[in-house]
Amino acid sequence: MSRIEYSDLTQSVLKRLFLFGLPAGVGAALFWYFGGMRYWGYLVVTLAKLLGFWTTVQFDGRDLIYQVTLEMGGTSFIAFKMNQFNLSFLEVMTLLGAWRHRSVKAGFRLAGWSVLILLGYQAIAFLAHCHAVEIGPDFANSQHIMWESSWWYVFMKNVAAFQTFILRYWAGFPVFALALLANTLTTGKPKTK
Amino acid sequence: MIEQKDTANRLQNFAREYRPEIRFVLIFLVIVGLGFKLVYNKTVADHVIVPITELETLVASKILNLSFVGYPNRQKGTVLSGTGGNPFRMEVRNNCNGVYESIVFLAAFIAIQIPWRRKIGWVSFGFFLFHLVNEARLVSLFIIGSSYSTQTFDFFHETFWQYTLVIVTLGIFLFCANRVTKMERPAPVKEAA
Repeated sequence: MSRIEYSDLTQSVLKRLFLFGLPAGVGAALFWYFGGMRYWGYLVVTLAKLLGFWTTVQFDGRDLIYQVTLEMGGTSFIAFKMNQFNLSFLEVMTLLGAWRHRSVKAGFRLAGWSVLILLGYQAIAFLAHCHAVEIGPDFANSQHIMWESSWWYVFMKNVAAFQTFILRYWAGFPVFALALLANTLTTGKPKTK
Repeated sequence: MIEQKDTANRLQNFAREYRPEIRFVLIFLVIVGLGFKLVYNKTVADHVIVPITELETLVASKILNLSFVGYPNRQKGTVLSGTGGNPFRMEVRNNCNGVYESIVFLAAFIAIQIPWRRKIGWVSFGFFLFHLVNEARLVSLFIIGSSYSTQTFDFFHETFWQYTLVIVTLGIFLFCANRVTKMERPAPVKEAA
């Protein structure tokens, strides 16, 4: 990309970010404020059920609940605040608003990919986070279970740390980038300058 | 067979057409990954991250102690404690010091294929602006925590400021990238009357 192309692109994205992206983000925040995320939570938990068929998950209207079956019998629960996902939702809606769509149909198509990938990310992040807690020393201590470290625990701990490091606040960006990639690869349309 | 060839062609075309974008994303991801390793290194955390956090807490404390701001407090390390009958206490943690966002900002700037002599000034300006916004965030959070309910503080802490910081970082990056790439264009030729 030449310098002039960079310059034009950054200027137009900056303008669209504040003209259309920000209002879209505010709209998403209002949707959440008036209880919309409750319905969203049920979608996340349904997808998590499909992905994590080995465990039981549910949504109580506010928290996502992960059920752990203990080795010595009985069950325990790990709660995950749905609120932690709101930021990625707001970001995706902001970027969808800021993006220049070819047509209304193309806009809806990209929105569809974004929602699908966003839900997938949230379901996987929820399952991974709860699984990392489940195999961690704190949970073992709380249940009075002997705990030993393993390579899998170290790997999951690093995944959780990366989630805290960057994805918790910026997840909307890779989600939107993946949606763009999926949309471009499936439609095979050339980019517009 | 024809379908396979079609998919391969489509991927090849995609890789050719989006070469600068792919390069940008790859460089960006490598730097973010290195940043992640650095931030989670104990020596770096103790000798770089903690002093940065303490410095930001100190600046916030000085601003809050100004008579026209009127929120007297005591700063110890990364903790701000209200004085003069204000029981509010706030700890500036790793996620709140702006270091993560700075890494994202820096990674995006490094990934732009523009000579350093052109972009170094604007990177520094963007960094300064971003940390100014982060200071405003810390000061406002202390004021909100001292004067309003826990729910209000949580909303501003977990949602409003996180979203605002992400959008502001993106906005600052786009603005600086636009200034860096801006070059004098030939003036349009005016036709003689």
